Amino acid sequence: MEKLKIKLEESVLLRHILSLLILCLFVGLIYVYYQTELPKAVKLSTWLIHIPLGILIYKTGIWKTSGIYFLIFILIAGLLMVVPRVPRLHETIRNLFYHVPLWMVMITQLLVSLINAILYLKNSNEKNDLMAEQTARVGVLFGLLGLATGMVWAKATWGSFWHNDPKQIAAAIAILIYFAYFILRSSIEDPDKKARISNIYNIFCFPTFLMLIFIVPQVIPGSSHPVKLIVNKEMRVVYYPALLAWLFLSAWLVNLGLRVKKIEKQQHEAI
Amino acid sequence: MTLYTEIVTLIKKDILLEWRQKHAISSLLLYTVGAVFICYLGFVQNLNLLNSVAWNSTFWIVILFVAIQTASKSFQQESSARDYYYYYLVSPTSIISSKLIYNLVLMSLIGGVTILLFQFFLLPDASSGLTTVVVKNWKIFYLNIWVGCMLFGASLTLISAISAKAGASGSLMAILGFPVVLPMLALLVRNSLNAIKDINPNEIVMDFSIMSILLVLIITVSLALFPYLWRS
Repeated sequence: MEKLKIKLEESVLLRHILSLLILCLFVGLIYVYYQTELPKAVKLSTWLIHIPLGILIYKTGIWKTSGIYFLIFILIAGLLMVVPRVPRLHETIRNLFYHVPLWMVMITQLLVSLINAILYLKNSNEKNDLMAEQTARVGVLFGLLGLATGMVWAKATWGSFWHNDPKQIAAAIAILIYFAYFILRSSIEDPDKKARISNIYNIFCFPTFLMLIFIVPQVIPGSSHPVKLIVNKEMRVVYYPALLAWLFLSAWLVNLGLRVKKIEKQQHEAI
Repeated sequence: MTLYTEIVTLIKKDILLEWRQKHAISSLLLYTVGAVFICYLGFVQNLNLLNSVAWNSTFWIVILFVAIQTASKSFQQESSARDYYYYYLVSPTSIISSKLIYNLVLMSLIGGVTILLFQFFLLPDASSGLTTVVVKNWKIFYLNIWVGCMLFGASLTLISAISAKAGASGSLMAILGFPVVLPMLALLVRNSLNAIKDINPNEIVMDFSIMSILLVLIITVSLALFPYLWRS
């Protein structure tokens, strides 16, 4: 695995070929599982291939390149594939590949942020604080993108970009929480104090955030947002790669943010 | 000292301080009266046009601002030198517990004052013909206000500790407090409107159960997080 990693770092061509192969393999496996009429044992055995595939992607660090290929794939296939006719949604059902994964990735990133905040309070490790900040930042970015894609969808389905739907309002307030978090961060000078106080706020706000995303839209009547995910067999072939694609992209953004912070710190120390 | 005696002593200290510096509590009362009176002045010409939705929203906006004002002073009194003194004397758990209990009681009282003023100024007797707003289920309405005040008091206590530790002005308190309070406010406003119209008993039960779970959750999280905040 280490040898392969070094080789991949040396050769750009090999990296791209392997990424393409991983994409084809992954999409092919999902296709076999959901679209074909093979016996159940064969279908279940396809999951065994996912495990070495995941280890390969993680260990060789190829997930960045293959993430870009996944993104290209979902952009092309998501817009070109034949989608099932669902009343009210029609062609806008394609937003399932963009809007829904963006929200899921946002929730994942904010969850990672919460875990890092708790770890920071436990161990006072600076790395956890940096990670909590960067994941919250990327989470908010994905939340805003999710809101934007949702608004485009709302224009097509409901008739206006902002429809005063409980789900829209709750999502906007949920993002407001994290804006308050960033304001709190920027208002404290002392780095140690900043880390501690903002992580406490991060933890304190997470229950409210969950409530806004999951409970408030259910409790307040009048939401016409589709509740159940309408994922049929054909759409899964694009939907699962879409989840992975946005997840890889968000992980890459976090990674870049952390590296920028590291360089900034080095420069600061050099001065 | 045990936790219990520490808490009781701290609450006594808070009440004594409040009694000695009467300006704090009286300024709070004046703030409440001022806020209600501004609403009254806004509506006095057309009180008969005021419907229950607008009345209800105005009431909760006033409660929200009064709550933020009340909670923001709970940790700002403590100067930093006194902080260190407390740090050696008592455990952080008893400090946050005493502040929570004190704020819950104070918020309930202030909430009671606000609704009394609101009733006096903006809810004349329906028989006078001045208003069309009639609260049909007073029990649920009062209970809802009480639960709301407890929720605000509980959630804003830790926020006020955070903003006091950040050494920032009152505006930070509002910025940090609003997103936390907003989802509760959404439930409270709906519940209170249901009580005014006396409809949807199922919704009322569900709202109360969600809010009580939230109250327990917020108090637990506050108790768990405050020691870390205090340590810095």
